[in-house]
Amino acid sequence: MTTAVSTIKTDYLNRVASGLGDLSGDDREEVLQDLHAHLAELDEEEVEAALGSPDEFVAEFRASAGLDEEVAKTRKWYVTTTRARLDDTSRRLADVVRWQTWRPLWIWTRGWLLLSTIAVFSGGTAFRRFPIPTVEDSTIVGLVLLIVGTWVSVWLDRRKTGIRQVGSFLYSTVVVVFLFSSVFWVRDVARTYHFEDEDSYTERLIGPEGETISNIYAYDLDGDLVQVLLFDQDGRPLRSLPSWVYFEAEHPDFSEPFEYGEGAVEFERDEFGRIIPNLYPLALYQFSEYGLELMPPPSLGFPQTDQAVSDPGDGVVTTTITPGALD
Amino acid sequence: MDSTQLLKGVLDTAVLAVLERGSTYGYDLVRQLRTAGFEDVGDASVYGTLRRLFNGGYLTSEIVPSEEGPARKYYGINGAGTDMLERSRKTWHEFTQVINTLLNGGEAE
Repeated sequence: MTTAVSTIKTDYLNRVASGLGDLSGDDREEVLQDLHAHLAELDEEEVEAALGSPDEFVAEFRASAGLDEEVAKTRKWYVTTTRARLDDTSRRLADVVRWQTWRPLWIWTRGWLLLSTIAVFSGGTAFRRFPIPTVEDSTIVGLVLLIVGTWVSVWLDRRKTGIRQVGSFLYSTVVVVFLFSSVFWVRDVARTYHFEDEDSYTERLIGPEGETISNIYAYDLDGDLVQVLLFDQDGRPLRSLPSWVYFEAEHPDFSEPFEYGEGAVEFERDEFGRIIPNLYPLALYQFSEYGLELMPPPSLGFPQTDQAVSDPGDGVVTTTITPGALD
Repeated sequence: MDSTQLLKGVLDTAVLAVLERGSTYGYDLVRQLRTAGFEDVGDASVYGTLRRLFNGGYLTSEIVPSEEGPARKYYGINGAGTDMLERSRKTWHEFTQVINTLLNGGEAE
């Protein structure tokens, strides 16, 4: 005799319940209660041999109980059919979205929330190197605490013991790594799409050959490099970098220069600490074998007798041309 | 002759007759019917019959906890069920008498 309700038996009950979806809830429960007790008397492999398939059981039960005659008398056929289908769909949906499937993620999230709260209250941040909380600028401490937090969360899930506890922990880790890898991958893909399909043609400045303009250098008539604020015909500030760079560079946690896919940029900021997006030339950096290097101004394109490039450290590159070069 | 068709016609009476011996639950009722000779009776048919008789007011039911599994619903026969069984018993005897007479070459009354 089998006392526990196995998956096979549960599935059998669900399918019979689905077939009796036109009955009222109480009425259906009465039938299922009988069937539940009956199934408990059978071994799994005996179920279909003794009772037939769920569909056969339902058909035989309905015929014997005179259900179809009752239904025909009391309800429109389409009401019955629709209700049965809805019940069947909701039951199948409940089978797919089983709570147990999401339990490991909940366990991990619980641990992460616990540690993130501690990190924030101890002067750290939860999102700077998400999903690892940063405590006192230390990712290592955050990682250790995250592991401890996850373990505590698993321990809280007391119903699992021994090897299942370890399994639950490993499963949580795998699920989370997969989930967040997917999130970052999607974000990168979205950025690439945004950059290639929109920024290049609609939001970024384009040169005569269709090339992307990243920086703008303005000189006065004496050949001195000057800083300028650039606007379009509608008074909107011109921007030459992908729009998300301006958005993310505003984040106070980012160190300067702010690195992005194409290089890095160090924005000038106003008195409130906000970046000035259209103050040119931008202090653009490029990656090299020595790390990030400030990009020098391009060749001026007219006769020069002498040129010196200096970077006073304030993000503005100054180019000096010997007087008379423009004559 | 297919006894299944005959069984369908007398299943109500057979179920009431078993319950007249004493209250019992579905699985045991099926077992008693099979022991009595109804080997082909379908489990679902028995439960369908129980439901119909109960809704018709011929049976009582009581949930009894079981130490070996889920709670069992015990069905019993009430006064209306007993009256129905008596009528069925009388009808059955009259019917079988007629059939027996016919099958034995006699003339029906």
